[in-house]
Amino acid sequence: MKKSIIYTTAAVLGLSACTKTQFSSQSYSTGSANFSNMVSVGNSLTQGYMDGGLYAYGQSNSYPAIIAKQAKLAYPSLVFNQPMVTGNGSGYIHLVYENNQMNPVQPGDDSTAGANPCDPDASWATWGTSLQGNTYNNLGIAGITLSNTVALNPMEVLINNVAVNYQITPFTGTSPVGNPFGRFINFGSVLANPIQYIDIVRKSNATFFTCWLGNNDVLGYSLNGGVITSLTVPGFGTFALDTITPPNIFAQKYDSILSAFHKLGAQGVCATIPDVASIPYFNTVPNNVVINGVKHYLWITTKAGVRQAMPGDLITLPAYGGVLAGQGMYESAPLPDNEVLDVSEVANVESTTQAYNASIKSIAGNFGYPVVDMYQFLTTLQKSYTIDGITLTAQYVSGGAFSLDGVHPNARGYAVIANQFINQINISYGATIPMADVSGYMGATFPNF
Amino acid sequence: MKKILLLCSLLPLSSTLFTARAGGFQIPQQSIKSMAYGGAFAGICGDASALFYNPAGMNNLYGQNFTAGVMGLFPYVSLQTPSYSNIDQTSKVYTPIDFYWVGQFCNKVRIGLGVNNQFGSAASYPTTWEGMYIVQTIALKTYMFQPSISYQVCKHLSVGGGFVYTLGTFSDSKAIPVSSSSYNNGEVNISGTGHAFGYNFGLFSKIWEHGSDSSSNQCLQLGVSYRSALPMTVPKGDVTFSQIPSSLATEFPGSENFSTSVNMPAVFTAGFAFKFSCCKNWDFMVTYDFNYNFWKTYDSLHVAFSDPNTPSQGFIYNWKNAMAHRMGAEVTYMKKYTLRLGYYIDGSPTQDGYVSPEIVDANSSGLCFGVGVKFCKHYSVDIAYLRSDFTTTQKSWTAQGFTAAYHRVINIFGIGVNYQF
Repeated sequence: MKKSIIYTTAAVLGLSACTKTQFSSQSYSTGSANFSNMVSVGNSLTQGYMDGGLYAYGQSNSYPAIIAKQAKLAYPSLVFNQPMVTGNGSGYIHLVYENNQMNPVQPGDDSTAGANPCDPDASWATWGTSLQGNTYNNLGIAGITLSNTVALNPMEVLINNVAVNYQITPFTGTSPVGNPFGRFINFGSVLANPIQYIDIVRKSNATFFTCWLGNNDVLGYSLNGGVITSLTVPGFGTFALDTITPPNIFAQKYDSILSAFHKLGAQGVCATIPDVASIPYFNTVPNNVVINGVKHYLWITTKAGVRQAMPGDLITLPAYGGVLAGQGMYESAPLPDNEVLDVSEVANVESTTQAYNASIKSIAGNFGYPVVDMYQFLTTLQKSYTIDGITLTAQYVSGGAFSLDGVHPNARGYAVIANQFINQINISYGATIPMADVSGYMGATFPNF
Repeated sequence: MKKILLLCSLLPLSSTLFTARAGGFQIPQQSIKSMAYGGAFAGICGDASALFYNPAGMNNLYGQNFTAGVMGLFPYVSLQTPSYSNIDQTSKVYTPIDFYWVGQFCNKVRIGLGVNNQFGSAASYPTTWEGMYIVQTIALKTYMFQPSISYQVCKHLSVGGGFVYTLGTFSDSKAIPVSSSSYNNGEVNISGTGHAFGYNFGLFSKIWEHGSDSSSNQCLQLGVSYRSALPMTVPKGDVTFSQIPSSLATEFPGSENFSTSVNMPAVFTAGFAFKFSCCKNWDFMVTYDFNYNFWKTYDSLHVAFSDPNTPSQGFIYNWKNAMAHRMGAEVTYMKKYTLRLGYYIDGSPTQDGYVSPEIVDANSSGLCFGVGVKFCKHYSVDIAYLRSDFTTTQKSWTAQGFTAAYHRVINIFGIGVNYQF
């Protein structure tokens, strides 16, 4: 009897031990992709611009940084350097709750009670110059257009350098012009030795790249902030810098950039340009107000004159304050042209975007580079995209994917975008890079009071 | 500087509330003996738990019969997602109980009462995990009270039926994707108590006997039973939001109430048991039950809230009806020591595209083992052990954007006592 108890106990303990359910840890792989030097080119989206500014949190959650973090699980020696700003960097928009209203407060706006905790960092004024000796994996520069990255003639070399190089030019006198977000790169000097963005790419030694350039070529200065609109060069004339890049020029320049990577022997992945109409910036302020059940279309200024808005006219986010104050209610006080993307402009932007994307797909295809269809994905996100129980839309603030500027994603939005890239890399290069855990990335920070 | 007011309603609650998915998991082991037969009992009806498995089978018992059991249910569940190699549920131990009494009222009539936990499910994850916006913890417990009566129509046929009162409690918590400087996410917890009424009906036949006395040497028993659906209504449950940024207090009131109804499915069972002796001291039995579970009734769930600002919720689960096969065998020595073996194949009601981490379920099978000892004329004791183990491929819950492979192991230890006089 005693023996049987021992046997029974042993049997029970033996069975209890068989409770291991853990999956063995996966060996992730980068497949045929070589991640020993990953380089990302692009604009504000690539740099990690968020909430209307470049700040450390946004950079840490840029989509290339998230891709690199995940790829590192498959390629442990991966290093991905970003030109980090200090703390608040250029400053950023944050939400404040007062008078039972949630208000986004711009950096520099100190009108609310207490100091604005999101004002620019003191170091921002001179940020970047001390970083120029370093090499970075994230070459994203907020505001840069594809057109700015490479010149097709000597005059464009000058124009592009003025646009991207934050310096006092011989043409403009004492205050610096150009792009402060690109100060971590040495662009030389405009007349003596102008260095082009593509030159940086050529020297990048990239073995793998991500390329999401071209968004600003169609969005124009209205979203970029700080991009000069025109440049007068004495003896040469005045050059408009905010026009839409013609699709044939776009194609030539896109080919140049990919060719530069191709000559390095780099593998990579490209992305298409989203529809501007899919972002909250153009979808938050309605083009009509309903009073007593009657729909009143706002009065707007277009290139063809003042008229009432019609379905399809998009009002920009910055117009909101004016609309609340009654602007656009009367023909005598129309919304200004720069706060409205009217139907014909929308059509123009849309057809241009389609042309760009056709070029991106065919040029990338020529080089054998896969393309992430961000146009398609952002269209999906605009309706609704659910991941890990979190439903994201393109609705301003409440949609959960876009930051407070209504243009750039928040950390969670960038994580979702990073996963689109990772998915494409996995498919095209036979890799098994794990997806970023979207639930671990935050959306907007809502105020406590 | 221009400030922008936000007119838009801030948060689409539809994406942020919980899924009060109570349903899902039937516990087919409702007595320690039946557990050892893989959950088959409709044709056996060898102790008072017949009241649950097939109330007509109560006529198979004589005198006063009491059966009580307790199980220790140890679930271990791990997940593998596209982001993580392994995520473990924080497993707990569950202890379903059962109690049955069947008494001989007269020659042809038996009456009885049963108490058990027919449905229950629980899942518990780390507070912060990839699926926290779907579920952090969820638990459903049900207590069934079933008074029953059976009647012997003729020599070979009994009928029986019972009334089932169900008391259910459930709780569910999950994260809400709103951040503040204090918390990375909000949380919502719901809990409620519900009631349901149903019935249980069965036919039992000792259709063929070959032998002289009541402990006949050979016999074939047939049983069919139908347990009705149990539509549990939760008239007033509690909703509590926590860790909510104070600026969103209007959208997420500190507490409110909700109402819902949860359909626990009907089950049809048909089974047989064949008993025979091949020599003086050795008795054998084989048994088989077929279950048809009407899980389709649990294809969606709707939750309404007391606060008109909180939109009602609807979830589509699209569960399908499912079948189970249960079989067992036993050998008894000297009418005193019994060894039992069982096996079952249980079809899952879940379909790919609707597989949730709330109820980790897939087609499964289990191996069961039991021992019974009859100490004297009145007392006997049963112990049983069950083990079930499955691993799935990557399965999705499309509506929630969640994909995982699941590995579940369940060990159940049970002990029961029977008293008869």
